[in-house]
Amino acid sequence: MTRLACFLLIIAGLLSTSCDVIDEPFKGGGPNPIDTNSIIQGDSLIQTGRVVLVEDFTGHRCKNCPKAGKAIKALDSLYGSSVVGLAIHAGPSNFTGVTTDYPTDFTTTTGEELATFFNIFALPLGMVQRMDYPNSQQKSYTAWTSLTAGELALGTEALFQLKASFDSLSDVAVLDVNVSMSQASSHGIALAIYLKESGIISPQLMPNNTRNLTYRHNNVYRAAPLGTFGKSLSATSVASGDVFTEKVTFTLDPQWDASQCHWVAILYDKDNYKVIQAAELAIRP
Amino acid sequence: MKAFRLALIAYLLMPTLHGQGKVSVLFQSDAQWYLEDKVLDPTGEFYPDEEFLGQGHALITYQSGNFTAGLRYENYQNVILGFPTGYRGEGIAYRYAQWQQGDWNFTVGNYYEQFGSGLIFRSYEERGLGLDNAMDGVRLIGDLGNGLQIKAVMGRQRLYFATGEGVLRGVDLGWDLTQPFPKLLDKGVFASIGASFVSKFQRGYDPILNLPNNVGAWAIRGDVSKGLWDWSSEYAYKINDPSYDNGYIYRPGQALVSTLTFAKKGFGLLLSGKRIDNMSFRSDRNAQQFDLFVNFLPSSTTPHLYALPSLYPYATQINGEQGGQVEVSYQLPRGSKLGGKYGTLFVFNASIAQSIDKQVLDDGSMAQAGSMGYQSDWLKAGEIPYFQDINASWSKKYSRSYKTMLTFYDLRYNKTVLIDGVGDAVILDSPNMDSVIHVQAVVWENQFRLANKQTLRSEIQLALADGYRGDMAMGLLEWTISSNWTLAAQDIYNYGHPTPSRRLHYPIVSVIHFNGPTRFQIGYGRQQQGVFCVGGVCRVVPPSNGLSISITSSL
Repeated sequence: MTRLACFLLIIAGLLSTSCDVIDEPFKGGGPNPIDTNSIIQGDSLIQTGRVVLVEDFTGHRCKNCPKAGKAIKALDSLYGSSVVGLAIHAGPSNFTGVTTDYPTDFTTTTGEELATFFNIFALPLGMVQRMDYPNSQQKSYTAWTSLTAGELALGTEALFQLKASFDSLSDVAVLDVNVSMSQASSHGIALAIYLKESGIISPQLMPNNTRNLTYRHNNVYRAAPLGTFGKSLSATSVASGDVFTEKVTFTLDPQWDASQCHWVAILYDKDNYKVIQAAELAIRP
Repeated sequence: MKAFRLALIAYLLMPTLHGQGKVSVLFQSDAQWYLEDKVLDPTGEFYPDEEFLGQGHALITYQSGNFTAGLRYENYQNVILGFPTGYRGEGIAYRYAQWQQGDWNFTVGNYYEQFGSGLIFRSYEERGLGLDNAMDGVRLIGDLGNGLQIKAVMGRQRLYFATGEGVLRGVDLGWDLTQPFPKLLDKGVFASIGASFVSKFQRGYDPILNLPNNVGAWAIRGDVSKGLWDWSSEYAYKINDPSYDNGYIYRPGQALVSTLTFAKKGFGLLLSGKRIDNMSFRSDRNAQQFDLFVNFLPSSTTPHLYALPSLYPYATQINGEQGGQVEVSYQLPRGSKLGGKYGTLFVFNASIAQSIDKQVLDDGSMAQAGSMGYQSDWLKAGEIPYFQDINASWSKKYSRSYKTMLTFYDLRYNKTVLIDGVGDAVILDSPNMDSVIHVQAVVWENQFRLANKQTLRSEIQLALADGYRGDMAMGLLEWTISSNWTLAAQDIYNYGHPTPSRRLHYPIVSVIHFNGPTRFQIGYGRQQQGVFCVGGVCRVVPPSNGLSISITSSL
């Protein structure tokens, strides 16, 4: 009986000390902005820390997609320039196709290639840093915040320096890319460059099944000047301190508002497509 | 570490050389030589660079009196397609020593253990899945008298060739009530109750969320049987455990399983029900796939063994599901008009699994990280059907040399949930986005006893599906030439695949040879893409073509 009493005492100890019931899940009572990891000086961007890419596969006839758009907005207010959002209109055509009610064609060939390659089988779905490819790279927007937080907690692997120039007469945009490795990697790396546009007013199907005629589409993926998967910078491995440079030139579609367009640069691991670092800079400084 | 292993091996072998103790060995090795198949895998996506992959293990156990020790050497050069790629290389992945001292049993090193039905703790190995969450630490099992048994565990879980970050502590009490209350036995009643508690510790680092470092879970259970009836139930509760699985929500988890059985000669009845709500429990909150599961959530559906129905297996939905199963078996007596000379067996089985009720929180959100996730009513059914299975079989032995079995299946299979892995929140947002496949299948098996102790077994299978894989037919012939040799050949023809280029044949031939305790199997053919499940836990099997070799032996 004494033995039983001893063990019951141990169990009581375990029960009382081994459960952390959390009454307030958010630190400081709610999400707080954290320090930015990018500094913009005129036409240039200099990075000082890790920046995370969040890709949102969306469609103007997808009624839940505005929720994912809100999630990107929430990440922006939470992390500022430490997060780069990209809304790719691609995936099932019943969500992205053009009709008389939804006349704007936001789809692109390269965007569709990304959706196909990363097996975006439903909308809205997204990717955070393209992590967990090839089995579970598709992430629901409800998971983006925590996954982004986890990524931002990791050490910096590479830093971008970008410089943009724009000729408004010819609509030619030029981007000078300089990326330096902060960590060595045994895998090859590649650079992809995308263009995105914000502030596009066009109809969007809303969660309550109504059509919002003045919906503001932000971060809309427009083009991939270096191709869908960009350009290989190193075939096998990279050393800490390695520096790569690239110059990208692209002529904007005259329909696009250059003042709302941004370059998006990503550096990724060629073996697993995991994004190592992302950056964003306005086309017209 | 190396010196420790050598010392342990020497210690194991030394007494044997002096004629003490007993050493036993279990050995298994599997290999696969892959051939490029442009029809099966046009882009070469699944074709491995190595072309030849192999893996195996040997478990060496030494026992002397009350003392047992053992180790398992494992090798993966490299792991066979479809298994978790974390298994890489070779080494001693499992080693332990165990001894009995009076009423106490001690284990140090690796061990497998389970509390109750496993709702809050089950450390186990399932080689077919590549799942191994063995504990590495200390275990104590004690007999406290009066039918009371205690188990206490502490340690970390195996993660491939390392251990996970989280530390587990747990205790379980089981009480056989017939010992303190022998009058129960007089009335033909067997009864036992039990309770368990498990806590994991993992330090939480997050810039935004306050993560719990210690997550506790408890469970209570009971089992009572009288006469031909038996009823067992277990309820479990887990405190807030934000994790990758549940989208970092803070809702507590709950689970209830209950099973009632009745069995008498020629008749059996099984009724079971369960409800799981947010009960994913891993020793690392960020773990995925099979990694570091602390608990085991049993499936309430029947796993099918025949090839075509088994292409639609059910995987337990750890974030929430409810369901149940009923099975009735009846044997027409031997010598009766319908039962015939050897009797006839009928089995009817029906099971269902679907989502639990999930409603938005008061603030209008659902499944947002850092929130309570959702509201749920135990008395309401969820809206998303996951799986439904109705099957019936009839088996009859006509003579000493011929018996037959016919089975019908009617399955409803939610591919969006079970194959694509889309969560409830996404489907509830877009109610018609999920694709539920209706499958009707029939299997006819015949077994003939031939001269010279030879047997011939055949299977004819047909599965008709209104999508996904489409219609399929299969034939199998298995010839047991002697107790040492078996030959088998089968072909699955996916003649009704929705994509014409995927209307393929999947032929396989194999030879099995027994030589004492050693078994060799060589097979050659095509393996189609699928899902392989054991106990509601599933892994994806990629398509392949080639030669497979398997050797098992024991000493």
